[in-house]
Order: sequence, then structure tokens, then C-alpha cells
Amino acid sequence: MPEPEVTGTSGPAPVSQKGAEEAFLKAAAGPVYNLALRLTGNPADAEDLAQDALIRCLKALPSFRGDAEPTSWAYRVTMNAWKNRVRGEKRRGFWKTLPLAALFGADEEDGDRPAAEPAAPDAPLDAGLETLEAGEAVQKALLTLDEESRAVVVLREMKDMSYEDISAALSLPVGTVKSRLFRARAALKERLKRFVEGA
Amino acid sequence: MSAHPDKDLLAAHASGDAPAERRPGLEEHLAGCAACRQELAELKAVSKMVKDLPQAELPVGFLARLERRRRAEEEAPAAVPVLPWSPWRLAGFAATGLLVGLVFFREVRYRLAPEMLGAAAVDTGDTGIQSERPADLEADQLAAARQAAVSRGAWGAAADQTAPAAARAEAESAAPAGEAAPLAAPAPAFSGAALKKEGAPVGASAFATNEQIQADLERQKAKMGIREVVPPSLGSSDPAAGLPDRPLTKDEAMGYMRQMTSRLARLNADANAKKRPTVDLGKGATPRILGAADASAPLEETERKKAVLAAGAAGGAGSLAMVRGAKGARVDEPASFEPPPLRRAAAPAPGYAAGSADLGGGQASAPPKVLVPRGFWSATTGGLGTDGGAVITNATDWEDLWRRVGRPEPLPAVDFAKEMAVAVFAARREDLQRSVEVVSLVEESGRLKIRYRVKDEAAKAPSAPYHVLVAPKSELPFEFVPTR
Repeated sequence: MPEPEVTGTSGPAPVSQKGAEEAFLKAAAGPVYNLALRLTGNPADAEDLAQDALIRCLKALPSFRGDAEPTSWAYRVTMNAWKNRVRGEKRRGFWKTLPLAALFGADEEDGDRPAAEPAAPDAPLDAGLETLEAGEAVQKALLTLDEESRAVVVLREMKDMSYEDISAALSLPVGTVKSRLFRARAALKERLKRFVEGA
Repeated sequence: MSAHPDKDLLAAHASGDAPAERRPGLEEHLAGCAACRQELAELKAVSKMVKDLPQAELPVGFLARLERRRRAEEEAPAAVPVLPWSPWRLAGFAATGLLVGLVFFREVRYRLAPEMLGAAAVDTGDTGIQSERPADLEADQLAAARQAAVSRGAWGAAADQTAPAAARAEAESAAPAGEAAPLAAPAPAFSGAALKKEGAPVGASAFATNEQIQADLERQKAKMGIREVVPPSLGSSDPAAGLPDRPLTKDEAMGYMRQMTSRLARLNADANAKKRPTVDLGKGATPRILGAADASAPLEETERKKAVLAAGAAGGAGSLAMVRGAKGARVDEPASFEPPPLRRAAAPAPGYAAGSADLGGGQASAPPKVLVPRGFWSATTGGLGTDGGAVITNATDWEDLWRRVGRPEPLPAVDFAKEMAVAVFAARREDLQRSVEVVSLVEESGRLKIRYRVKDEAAKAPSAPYHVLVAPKSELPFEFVPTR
């Protein structure tokens, strides 16, 4: 569902730094946490990522005043923070310890490579999804996508960002954004077949 | 029925993002293909499912934890790596670079360079002296001698000989087969006769004396057509004249640079002096106009007129020009070149003695009028470091003065229609603490007398004092009068 957009400040502008920070947090903390939750898939990582991103936003807040919408700027910062986190974890070989390690194959640098299809067999995953509720199933399905595709899907479907904004937030060309989105959609559909059959 | 569209195209179409040119074909296919319609519906459903994901609430205490974490990070900022690589890797790279640089420097610069330079030298092929290093000289001589020996064929294998004795010994040991060489002959290949024949130096030693080297060099130069280029007289204005068309030695280069800079400095000084003539105000202090060269001799009347006109033509410098006549300390008004009508007409004749009461213009009878300054600034350092005084009547010079003395305050506003600025400076002394101040500004006897006092204290501190003040404008010619 679309977020309530905050288009700049209404009423008297906050004069103090503290006031500006509070206004920003009120507007952006929720959406940022949501984005982080959908990206990472679990609340602990989401809180970590969201706080990281919000701290960066607060640091850069003085130079931000009044230009664009705070939420899209905050999303962009979140995406950067997440990219750094993923890159760092990959380098440290973190993903190798996870059973889903084979799923996360796409590199940041390859802009136009197709999203990595999961190498793990479908059966165990689908068997698990049967018993889940739709929301959890979707979240799990999202996690099977590579990070970029996941980000694109969340930003487009959930946050309703325009292709240009997503392209700016992820530093990808608009064409790549679109192709990632469509491919991800098709992949998700395969994964969530049980839920959408008969729609 | 047309071919099934691929998954990505359908996915694009699900949100209306299919390229426009493909849409008619798509619609047509979908109209007739239930399977693809089903696919499309499923894709739309997936989109909706993602869209409908619940908005999670911020966890309880999220903002508090955020604050805490923020404080913690502010106190001990996270170890953000400033460098892309660890210090060890960087050190390794630096060391490698240094090593490569050193090797390059040694090998190329010191070993190959002489060859590079040597290649530029003309090799005429005769046994002349090619280089001037003693070792090379010796080697050249040996090579020449060797060639001579080989060409004569007397001592075929006798190569490295440095003394007649050694030559004889080697000749004995070499013993070329079939050579009926007179081994006992007292004349080795290195004999004086042989060398003399080739024009090479005589004597048992293989080295050449300086005169012989010079003579040979002259011969070589004559052969090659090199002319020595004598530097021209210093009168020519082309600073690069006289440079020979070859690489200079270090001393030559230094000499030329010194010549050139002194030439240019002199030209510069001449130009500056022409622009801003300086004169002696007499009585101790020898004031200099801001930026002018050394004080010149007092100007004659005609010179004075010329200087005034020239300063006016140069533009802008005039207001600080102080010009005087042939004798005495009479000072004309600042040549700001908005001529106050009265006084210019009454410009006094040359030879006007100092201290005379009247200056014409009808001002003589006026009672002395004290001008009260409205603001002053002074310091013991930061002045020009030379004796001098100036009356400033336009904003450009005011700003210039302000900048030169380096006051921290912003430039005070002065309305130059009604006010003027007066500045006095005293010469820099390293051993005394000096201070200068304007004691009074009095319009009397048709002149503005600016009385100033220089105080010296025996403190060992370098000082270049100044005193600047803003006072009501005076149209009279001014005069700086030192007082005790």
C-alpha cells in the first residue's frame, strides 16, 4: 500500500537542529524500517540496517533541508547502507555459511546480468511455503531473489517509487531497473505459484 | 495464434510497462491464449501480494536505541577505513615503488645517460679526443695507440699496453707465429714516435696535458664548424640573447639566469620609477611613495610638472604622489587630479624656500584651523617599513592602504567628498620598538601641516609602525612636519 508521502515541511519550519531531526525521524523512521525489514527479512537485521541508515541521514540532515522528499532521500541512503553491508558480508564470506548461499550469486558490478536463479531445488522451499501465511511466504520468496532485484521489487511494488527514483537510489540505469523488476516478478510468480493459482 | 510472449514481457505487461510497439501483438495473442492470460493474472497477483505486505510497526524502543547508538558512535566513531587497503599493503606498494624508482634512477640516469649524451656528440672517426674524463682519455689514447699498432701490423696481438715494459713483455709472450718481429726492438707500439705521428701527446704517459687537450678541442671545433658565441652586451633587451645553441653546463646556466634576472629586475625598476617619482621631503625622513623604488634626486620644476603629468597618465597612483620643487620642503597638494580650481592657478614658482609663510591663493590670512580626526588606527608592526606619509583621497588607495597594513577590522567607510585619510609610517628598525603618531592636523598659513612624532623605545623587537586616521577633507597642500 502506498506510503503517506511527506512533501516537505508544513507549518512553521523547525528552527532548531533538534526540531528538524525529530521531524525527520517522525517522517522517515517507519518507512525506512519497513524497507529494511523487507530487504533483510528479519527484524534484527532490519533494525540494524535501519538504524545505520537513519544515523547517516541525521548526520547529513543539515545539508539536506528542503530539497527533495525526505523519504525518497532516506530510501536512497538505506540502499547505500545495505549495499555496503552486503558487500562487506560477501567479502567476509558470511554468505558461505548460510544454506541459501548458492542463491546470492549476482555481483553488484554486473549491471545487466540476469538475476541469479536459485540453485537449490525447489521442492524443500515450496514444501515450507505451504504452511506459511501469504505474507511470510512472500517475504521468504523475496529473500530468494538477489539483492538488487529484491530492492527493485520492494521499492517499486511496496514503496511505489518511480523508475527514475529507483535508478537513482540504486545507481542502476533505468533499463536495468525495469528488466530486473520483470524478471524478478516472473521468478516470484514461480515461487508463489501455490498462492496465485486460480487467481 | 502468434508465439507465446516470454515471461519477462508478460511481467512487464502486468504493470503496463511493455514497450508500446509490442502491445498490439500482445493484446492480440492474449485474446486468443488462455494460458498466457492465466500467466498474466498470476503475475498481477504476485505484484499485489508484494504490495499488500503489511506495514510493520517500528519496534518498541527503536528510537531510544537509535539515540543511544548515535551517541555511542559520536563518542567513538566507527573504524571507517580511510584507505582502501590495509596499511601493510600500502607500505608494500610504496616500498616496491621506491625500489623501482631507485633502480631506474641508478641504471638509466647514471649508466645509460652518458651513452645518451655521448651519442649526441659528433664522432668524426679520427683519433681525436672524444670526452674529457681522465679515464676516458686514457682509454681513448689506448684505443688510438692500439689502432695504430694494428694498422701497422707490428704487434698484432698486443692490445692492452700501458707502459713500454709491459708491452714488451706481452709481445714476448704473445709471440705471433711466423712473425719475424724484432722482439728486442726498443720501440714498442706505444713509442713516442708512433704517437707523435698520429698527433697524439708525446711522452711515456698516456695522458694528455691540458694545453694539448685544448689544442685538440680547438682543432675539432674548427673541423666541425662550431663557433663560440660570446654573450652580447647588456644593452640588448632580449633576455635570451647570447645563449649558445647547445646544452649548458650548470655554471653557465646559473650565470645566464643571474644575468637575465638582474636585467629584468632593472627593467622593472626603471618602469616603476617612471610611474611613481619619489622625492625627498627633507628634514630627516625620506618618505617614499607606496610601491615606488628608491627615493630619487629632487626634481626640478620642469621635472616636477612632467612627473605630475606622468603620474596622472598612469592613473590612480597620483593621489599618493608627493612632489616638491627644487629647494626646501614645500609640498604641492596631492596630485589627485581633480584640480581644486583656486590653488592650481596659484602654483608657486620654483625655488620657493622652505618654511615661508605664504603660499598664495589667498589663504594666508586665515587663522589656523585644527582638523579633528574621527577615527584612527595604529600599530607598531604592519606598516610599510619605510619612512613616509600619505594623504589618501580616493577609495581605491584607501582600500589598498588598508590591505597593506593588514588591519583585521573591515574597511571603514570614508566619504571622500568630505573626508580624507592621513597615514604616516616610520622606517623599520630591528633593535628598537618604534611607534609613530600624528600629533595634529592644522591648517595654517595656507597649508595643511601634519605634525607627526616618532618614538623609539629600547626594546628588542622589530617594528614597522604606522598611524592612520580619517579627518575632514582639506584642500590645502599638505606638509609632514616632524615634531618632538
